[in-house]
Amino acid sequence: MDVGRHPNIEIFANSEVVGVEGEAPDFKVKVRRKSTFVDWNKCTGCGECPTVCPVHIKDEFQLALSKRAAIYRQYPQAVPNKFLIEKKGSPPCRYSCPAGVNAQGYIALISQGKYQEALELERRDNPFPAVCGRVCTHPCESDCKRRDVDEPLAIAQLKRFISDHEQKTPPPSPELNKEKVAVVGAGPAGLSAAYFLARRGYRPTVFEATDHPGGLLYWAIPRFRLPEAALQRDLDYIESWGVEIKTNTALGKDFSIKDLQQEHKAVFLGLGAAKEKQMGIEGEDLQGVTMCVEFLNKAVHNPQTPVGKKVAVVGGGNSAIDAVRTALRLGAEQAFIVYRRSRQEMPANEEEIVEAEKEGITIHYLTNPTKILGKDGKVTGMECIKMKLGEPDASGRRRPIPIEGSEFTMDLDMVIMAIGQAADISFLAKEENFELTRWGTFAVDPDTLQTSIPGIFAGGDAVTGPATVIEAIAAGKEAAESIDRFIRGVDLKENRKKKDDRVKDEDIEIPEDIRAEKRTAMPMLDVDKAKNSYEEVAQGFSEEQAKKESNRCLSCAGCSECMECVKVCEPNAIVHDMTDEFVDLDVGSIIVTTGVDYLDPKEASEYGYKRFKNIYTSFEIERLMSEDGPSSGELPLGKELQEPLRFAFIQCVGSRNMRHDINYCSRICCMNTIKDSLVLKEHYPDARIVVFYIDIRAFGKGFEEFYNRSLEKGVEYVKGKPSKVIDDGQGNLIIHYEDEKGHSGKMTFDAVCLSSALIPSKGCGELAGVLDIEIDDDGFFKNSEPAIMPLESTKKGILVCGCATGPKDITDSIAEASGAAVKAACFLEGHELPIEEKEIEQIDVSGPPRVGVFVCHCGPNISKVVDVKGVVEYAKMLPDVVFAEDYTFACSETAQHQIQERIAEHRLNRVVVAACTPKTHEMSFQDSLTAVGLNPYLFDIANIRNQCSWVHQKEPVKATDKAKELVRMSVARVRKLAPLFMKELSVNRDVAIIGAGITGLRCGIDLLQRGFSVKVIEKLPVPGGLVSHLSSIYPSFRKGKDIMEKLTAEFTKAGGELLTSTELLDVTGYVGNFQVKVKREAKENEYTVGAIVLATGSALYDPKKCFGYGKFPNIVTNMELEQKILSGDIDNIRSVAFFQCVGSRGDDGNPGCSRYCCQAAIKEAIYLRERGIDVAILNRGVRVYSKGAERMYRKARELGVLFLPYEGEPAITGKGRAEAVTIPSSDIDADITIPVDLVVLSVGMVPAADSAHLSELFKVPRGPDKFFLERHSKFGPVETTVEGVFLCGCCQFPQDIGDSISQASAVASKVAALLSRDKITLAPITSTVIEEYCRGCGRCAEVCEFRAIELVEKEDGGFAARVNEALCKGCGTCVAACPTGAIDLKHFRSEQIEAQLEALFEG
Amino acid sequence: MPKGALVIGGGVAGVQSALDLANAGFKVYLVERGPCLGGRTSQIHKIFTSMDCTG
Amino acid sequence: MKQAAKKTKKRSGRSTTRRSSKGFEPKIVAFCCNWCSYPAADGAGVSRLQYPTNIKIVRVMCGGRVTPSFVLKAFELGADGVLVATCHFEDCHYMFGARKAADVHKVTEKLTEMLGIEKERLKLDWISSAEATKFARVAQEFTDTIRRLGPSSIKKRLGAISEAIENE
Repeated sequence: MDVGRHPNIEIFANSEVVGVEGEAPDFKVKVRRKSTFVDWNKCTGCGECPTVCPVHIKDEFQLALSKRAAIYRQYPQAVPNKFLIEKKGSPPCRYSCPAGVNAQGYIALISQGKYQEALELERRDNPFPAVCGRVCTHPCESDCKRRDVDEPLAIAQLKRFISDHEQKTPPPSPELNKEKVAVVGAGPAGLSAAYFLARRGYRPTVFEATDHPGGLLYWAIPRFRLPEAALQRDLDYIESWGVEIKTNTALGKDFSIKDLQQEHKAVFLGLGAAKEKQMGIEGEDLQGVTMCVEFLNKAVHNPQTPVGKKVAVVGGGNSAIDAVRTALRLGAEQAFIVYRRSRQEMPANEEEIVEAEKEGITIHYLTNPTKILGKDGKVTGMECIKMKLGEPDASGRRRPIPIEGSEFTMDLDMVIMAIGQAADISFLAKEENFELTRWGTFAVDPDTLQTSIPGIFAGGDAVTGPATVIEAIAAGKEAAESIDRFIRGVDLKENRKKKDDRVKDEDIEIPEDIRAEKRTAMPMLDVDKAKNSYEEVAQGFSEEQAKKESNRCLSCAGCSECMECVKVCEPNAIVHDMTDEFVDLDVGSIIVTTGVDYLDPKEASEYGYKRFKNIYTSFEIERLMSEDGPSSGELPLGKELQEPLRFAFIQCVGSRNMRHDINYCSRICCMNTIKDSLVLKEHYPDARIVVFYIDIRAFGKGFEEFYNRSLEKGVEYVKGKPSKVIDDGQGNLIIHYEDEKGHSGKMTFDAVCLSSALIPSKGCGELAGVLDIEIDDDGFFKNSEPAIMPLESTKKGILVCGCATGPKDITDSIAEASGAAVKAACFLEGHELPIEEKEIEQIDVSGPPRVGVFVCHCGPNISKVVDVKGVVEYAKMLPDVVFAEDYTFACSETAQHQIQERIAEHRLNRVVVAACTPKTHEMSFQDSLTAVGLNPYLFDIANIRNQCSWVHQKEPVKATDKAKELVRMSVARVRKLAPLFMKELSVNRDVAIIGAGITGLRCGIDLLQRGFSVKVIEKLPVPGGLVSHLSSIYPSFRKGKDIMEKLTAEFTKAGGELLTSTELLDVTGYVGNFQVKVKREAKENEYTVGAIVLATGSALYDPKKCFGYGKFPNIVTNMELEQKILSGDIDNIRSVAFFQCVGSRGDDGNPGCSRYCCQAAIKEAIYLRERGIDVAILNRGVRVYSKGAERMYRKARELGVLFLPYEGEPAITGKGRAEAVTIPSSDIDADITIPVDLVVLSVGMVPAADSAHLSELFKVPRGPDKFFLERHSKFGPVETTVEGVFLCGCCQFPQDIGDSISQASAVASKVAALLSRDKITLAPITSTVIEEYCRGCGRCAEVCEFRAIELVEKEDGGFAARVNEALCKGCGTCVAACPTGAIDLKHFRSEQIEAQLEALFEG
Repeated sequence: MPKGALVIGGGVAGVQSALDLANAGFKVYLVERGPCLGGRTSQIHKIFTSMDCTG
Repeated sequence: MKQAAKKTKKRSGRSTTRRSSKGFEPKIVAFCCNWCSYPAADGAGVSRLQYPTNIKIVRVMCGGRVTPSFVLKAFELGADGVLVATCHFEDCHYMFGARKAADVHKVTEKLTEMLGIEKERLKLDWISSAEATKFARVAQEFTDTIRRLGPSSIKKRLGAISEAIENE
């Protein structure tokens, strides 16, 4: 059963362990479920959402080689198959906006051409897009991250674009709220408050003193900047929500606050700042001196407003610019600005200043009026003083300081004062007792905007003093929230503080290949024309410009919260405001399998990764060569190949490297490179592939043969480490390297793959802290004792396995994972046995078929393409169909319930569901059937989604026809189906382990601890196997004999039965019930066991005559050396030469690497060298890979152990004893002669002598190397094809001690799982024989891999096949082999499949 | 609620540990940092030596 | 064979329209194994890979279960093409089922050749569960091949034979 559906497994994806307390077996664990923003209980994984998501961010799964949407699943087969949304926080644009307008969202929608959707999104936060698109001070642009690349986005202008492209939509109708709210003042603050209240269902009334709504927007912004029509659009929109605006109704004149309070539940005051400030200098009362707003107000409504010839505007804000540009248009000959600071401090929008300058307006910076000069009561000039900038003041701007004696005068006839406004609400304070600030503004609560009078709220300029439009809108929005809370009686303050959730700068993704691109310039009215008219100067983006500009967005926050996914999600699964959740768990033990990361090859900068094109990591090559990868399986070279592809692999990038402090071999890279080289050869058969390596470490089962295959395919290997990779500028990558002989060379390639080191997974150190366990010198989790305890952490009850303890391939990781499981189980309280199912009355199905057909819409997934109703009607006409109907989601609980009711109602005895693939829901439908007493095998699924609607999206008619055909086929099949019943076998809970070596005993102890009884059967008189002969074990240096004695004692103490000197005679039976017959001391015995473990080990290669073994007495095997060390027989030795790979990696019956010998030889060499003995290890590549081994290798070299390569059989010379060995050295092109006192042959491991016999006895096949064959080289390393028979250790392939022990525990885990139940249920889909047709030819038995068929003697003397259902796996290959049609496969019977075929071709 | 085991990491090893425990009848909580199970193995295109495809 | 041919004859009248070479819509059966190629076809759907509607999948547990008689039956009933899709050899859920499928396929090929069915009409391919793209590609290419070949004549010929037998 797969992990996603296992009833005993609860998956917390997107989660982290944040706290662990207690000791085994009482751990209290806290898990943080990070928010996915998608309710996984509802998500069906249909895949609609990413199709509408406008965001494209880098796809980490594809290693950032391609992009994906912000709502995503990692890959289509993901478990759990659910979507989630990547949110990094508030994007800078949104965060810096006072009103929190979702700029990233509407920009993303613009890029998709969804302008109306963009506008709707904008209006969620701001009812004034037309206004703000023109006059906003846009703080969003100031904080736009694109600024770091080139220039910020033209966000305001994009906002204007969507407003310009508004399509009138019917007025929205939220649920009506009858409570009355009054708003005073129809400026941006008041209207916003009214609008946001209206969105909540209120019908607020806005009282406006003037005759037109809009406040300063209407009265003081010139039309060439904000055309009336644009403003009107926003006003109309606000009114469309049901906001009533009463003009010419003034507070204090037409009504009082008390009047409002009587009729309304709450009041909002958006009174603005109506009083214009004066400078307080001499001459301000002269004729010709005017206030800015007053001036603009007149001019906006009367183009004939009189203006001076020479006009000075005092001030630096947008109003000043508006005034000066207006003066110019009214006919002033000269209009200029006087501003006391410099341009940098000027508050006016940059683009406005630029336009003014274009129109010929001068700005006198650092100039301040001191006196206005006049004659006859009229202005004639102005005395000014030059300023300089001092220290920054409270506003953060540098304070202007007058320069003494720099006064000068300018002639002019009009002065416009644009230095700001102030609130004018003193009358309210007097009459109504409002509390005011010392600036004369309303004193309000900063979070709620409530004034000193409950129920009365205020916002905008009357609170803040003169501020921006967007701040006024923000105030209106906040006030609406407060008023709503006030009316509903909810706490005004709770959760109001603005969250500090701006996306962190380091989380913002700026693509490495981004091109600088200036922001799109706004088209402007010709300046000469502009100067003389009130036509809008900024012309607005074209569609093309808007799209181009929107595409510059960096999508800083990931998800843009544009809400498009919400619209398409039929099951309503998306929850944008979901928060993290914490879950507490009580567990007995913990297994840590956090895996690895890889070193960023940028760290090895000499190899040019990311600096040059076509340099990849090996993981990137995996994705690129994958058909479902970012480039569909082809290398995206970006150039035409003139000749066959030239491709290089560079090994050990970072690994085995002091510079990167990685003192280990990454273990998987050599084989991965060899594999990738073969994959490349498939794609590019003529490619030249070169691997630069230090040692090729092909040490696992089948690895050496795989390496040889790559050599045969022409992959070239160069021993040597490249010094650098450079790009010649033409896209050629040149590798500089030094080979084995020290010759330097250069080679040119089109692409290079770097085998980057595996490093501890990110966060591994923190997790160690949380778990209170130790990490080792390399940063991986530490074992309590390496080699002997490879799965235990430094804390009891916490197991560590897989790459969490160091790099490992899949085979070893899987074995370790199983091993850790059995150890973890020892801390768990009892296990749950499957619950007895209650008896359900079975429906009689013997009568004629009555078929029910249920067709699923799968939301839009099927129904968007296939005419579901049509399929239902069609199904009703099919033979034996008595009922048909459709469901939106047939898999939903309600629908399944209904199906159960239909079965009863219409007495259905066959069911067809037309929906998705059976892989998803077949079991749940079958469970539904079982629950109402219908045999679950009388059921079929017509796959009309995965294999129809999804793959024929553009052909609805044909897809519907196909869906009908698929249903017709299913109905035909289901009519022929027969009920099947699960069979149960009783299980014997005893286990027999064959072999009392380190694996057999380890496995035995693990099983005993799990409560099983175990017999270990050993043919030799003493237990211990090979390990007991070892002088020491690295790295603990404990004696092999001691270890084995301790283990034997532990086994016996735990209640294990050790049968030494015992011969195996026969094995019969099957899983759960094997009979093992043995002979011990001439006595025969038979044991019944549920499972058998083969831990029979291997033999050592007998060197016979080779390498002079037997010829000279001082030539020994490494095992003999171990004995010498043990007996101290090394005193007279001064020089030793080891020969590696004796009997390994050759044709002499042993093609593979023996895996253990390099590490063993180095261990022995160190021992000898430390005693002053010279040691040379003559090798064919040093293959040290296990934990700590690389350090040991380095130590050996440091101690002066010589490592020399050799090939073939060397010359060993001497008289009566070996005195010297001579090898040709490829390093120096000359022979090397080493004087020796002892020659050690590191002999390989070979299959044990009795392995052929055992293979026959247990029916376990052997591979080409004659070791026992496992079920699957990667995913079933300890299982065999025979159910109930397992293997571990060296009988499968040479292993080192640590790996053997992990496998032993893994086997214990598998056996425990198998025998934990009282009964084994057998799947009923098996072969079945019709004896009368069977001629007993035996072909079926021959093809059966699982030995499930045997020939038995019939009564009439002939033979007939018989299927052992305990062994049959239900593949049905025997059926194809049978010449007489005597054998058939249940549930896939020939007549059932033929019925499907007939139905298909009926149409 | 019977006490179960916690497996941290949903890669190939974590999934294997979880399945072994679950198949033996124990409750397992499998915690994965990423959004789905599979770990590095799911990124691998083909697996030597059998050249199997993952998926 | 005789009986089956009779049945065919009775139904043959209904499907004349698609027999004209113009607007020819091939009928193709794909036998897909439960562990690799069937999930691959599902995966093609998940990834929304588009291919022609002509292919109809029949699920079997193992490619080695596809007896020659299934293939012959399909052709006899009017298939214009038959695809057998299994796991890759090394990837087989049943260890050697895919190899056995290849062995059986050799026999099937001989039989179809004897019947005069063009050999391009029968195809064996290996598609793992991860190779959704390959499934879609094979489906497209095989349909294209059959479209180029035009309608299979075997059904008609078998019909004629059985008619002749009946008339005797």
